Amino acid sequence: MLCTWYFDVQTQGASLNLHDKAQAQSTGFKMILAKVLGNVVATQKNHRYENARVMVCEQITPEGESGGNTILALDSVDAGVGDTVLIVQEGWGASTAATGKVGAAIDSAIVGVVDRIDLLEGNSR
Amino acid sequence: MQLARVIGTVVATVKNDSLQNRKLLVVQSLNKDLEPQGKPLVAVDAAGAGVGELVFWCRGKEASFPFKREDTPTDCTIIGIVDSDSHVCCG
Repeated sequence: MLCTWYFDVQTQGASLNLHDKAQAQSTGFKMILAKVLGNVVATQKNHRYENARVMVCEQITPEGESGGNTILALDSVDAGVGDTVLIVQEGWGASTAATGKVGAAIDSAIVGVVDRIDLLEGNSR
Repeated sequence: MQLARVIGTVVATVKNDSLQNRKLLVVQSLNKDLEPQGKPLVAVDAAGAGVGELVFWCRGKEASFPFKREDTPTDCTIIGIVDSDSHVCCG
């Protein structure tokens, strides 16, 4: 349901082109779709990252095509490798979702595992 | 957050007071295959990283949160050091 809402918002913005956006840097995105590729092991890290999984993700288009842009995100929903996920790229929401507290140095968090994406047919969007 | 390689250091004598004693490093963001992705940028170090190490950084307002002074003027901070290249597990 969450992802459907996201695409509704996207489709109503006439100037938005998801293909172009997926090619762009992640900077400026607030909520994106991505595929989980794996994870990163880091022993020495900020203490707010303890007991959290840092996942390697690749941004995808709604059709499932890879955008080629690799990002890291903290996992808050037990996502696994190969899952399509929803990533929030806004610090306040991301740190709250990932650690349960505000004020952590976290700018991306996985907040949902996408079951299904429903899109309009053709290029009408 | 993105993976990055520390590729250099920046020396700045005259700088904002809250940046005193902070290490400025040049980082090159990497993709999943550890190939360069985008342009290099300058990051403040909050993890004790050195040149050549694989790290990850945080951007935006949250980048200043690791520091005691939250008015530290940074929008890119290194917050973790990846144990080794083989500790980036994909697939």
